[in-house]
Amino acid sequence: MALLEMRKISKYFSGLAVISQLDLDVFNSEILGIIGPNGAGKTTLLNVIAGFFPPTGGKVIFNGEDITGLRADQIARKGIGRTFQLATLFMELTVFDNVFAAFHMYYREPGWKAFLHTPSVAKEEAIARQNTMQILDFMGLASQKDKLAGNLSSGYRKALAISIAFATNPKLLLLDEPVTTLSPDKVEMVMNLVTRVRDAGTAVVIVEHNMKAIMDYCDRIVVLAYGKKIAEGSPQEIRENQEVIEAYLGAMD
Amino acid sequence: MLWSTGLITLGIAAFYAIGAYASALLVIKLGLSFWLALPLAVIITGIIALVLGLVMVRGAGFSFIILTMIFGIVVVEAVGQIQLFGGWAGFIGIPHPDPLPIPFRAPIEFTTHPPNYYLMLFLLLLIVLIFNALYTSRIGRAWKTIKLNPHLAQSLGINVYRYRLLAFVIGSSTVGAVGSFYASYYQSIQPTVFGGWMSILIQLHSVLGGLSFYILGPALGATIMTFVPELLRITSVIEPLITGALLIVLILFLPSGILGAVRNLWVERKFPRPDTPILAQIVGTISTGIRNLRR
Repeated sequence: MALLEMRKISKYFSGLAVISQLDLDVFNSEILGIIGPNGAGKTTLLNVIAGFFPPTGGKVIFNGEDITGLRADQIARKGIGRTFQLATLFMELTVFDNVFAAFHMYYREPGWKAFLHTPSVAKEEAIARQNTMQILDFMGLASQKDKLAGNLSSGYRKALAISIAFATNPKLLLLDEPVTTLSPDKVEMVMNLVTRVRDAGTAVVIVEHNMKAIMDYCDRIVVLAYGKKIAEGSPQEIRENQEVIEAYLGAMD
Repeated sequence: MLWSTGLITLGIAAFYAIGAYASALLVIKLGLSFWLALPLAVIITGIIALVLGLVMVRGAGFSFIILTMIFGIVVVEAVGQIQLFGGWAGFIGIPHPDPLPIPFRAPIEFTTHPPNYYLMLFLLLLIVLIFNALYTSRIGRAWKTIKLNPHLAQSLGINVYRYRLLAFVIGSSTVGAVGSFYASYYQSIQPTVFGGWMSILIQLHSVLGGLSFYILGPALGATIMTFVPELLRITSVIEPLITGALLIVLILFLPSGILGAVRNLWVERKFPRPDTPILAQIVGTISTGIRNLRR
């Protein structure tokens, strides 16, 4: 059974169909790439899955549970993490505090105990701090931990954005343009992190324009054009698909 | 308090008024002791803030600013129009707090300045302690993330609406507590005191001190705004003019507030970012207390 099943998903913005009648499955431990020309509805699709826009029609089933129309924070609690375009971070916080903030859902002690700073809360927070350090190590950010996020270089910013989302311990991670604007060596660094996340048991969905990153690292690819799925398959199959070539080349004439 | 969740309110004075009037009514009409009226005033302010917040906090941003401002105007008008609340003349002769019995000594009377000063100081320390506990807990961290980026905060499973509502209720009921003290200290209250100007002045204190310093910033801003006009009181005619000009210059040149400017200097000199020492926070609080007495 698929981890995420989208059935006949549509999203209209003031009468205009950005996504129409889309079926999409994401399976456990895969990296699924979503590509398509500008305006194909890729980012909208991520926002629908993550609950930032409710779909106009259709159903989203995650882990066997209907999550259609839930708020973004409720969907985060179900186990879907996400990053935003342009590496959205808490710029005024340190790298450590950025990841530490992502442990919000991890705490089990009630809020009034947190207010009173009871020993049980202190213990819980100490563990969260340890886990934060582990994630920074895992993501190669340990040396940057005391820097303000706003002072990081672009490669580290993208890595930090993924680390924050990964720290929420998601079953599914949605990445919106994780390597756009990066130089080739940074692309490799970030995509290697994505692979490590996948190997740690988290399914990943990537929206990205960088074809090399998509072709080299994705297990499966879905191609969107005008809000519809026009192709689906392995990188090899997509590369040879006539309709995909036309969608991209056709946009150029 | 609300700044920390990225909300801007212009209705603080309304909750100040609610706290003051709730306390005054309980003492005068029901004959309750101040010591009972104070916590009741806090609870009443909190409940009103909760009910209002359920609606107002939904529309964060501009609509929230306008709604709080309108609420501020409505409260002043309502209190002025309704005779039960004393009308435009307000209340006079609100009794001081009852003497506080202490073991082996004479009870503390609250008829002179010093005991009232210590009471205010105690209240302030209590508020600072509560706020400090909140800001250093995961609740405070959630507020901070909401202010810095509400969308990212939401993607971490933080219920932005509920945390903003919590900040609104706690902030408002704290203001209610201070209002309750105000009523018993000045012994008289009039609706016109709690106009929109007071709300703006209170916010100015925070902006001037530094918005990212939740406790120390307003304390420093309040201190400056109390003493600078006093020092400038050469001629009372041009004093407000000079104060206003100074404010404009300060906010233009120090957009992150005085403490923000100090911190930026530190960062520029490649020092690690200093944590606000608790001692400095206490000093700031005491100066606010002095300010409240001098008014």
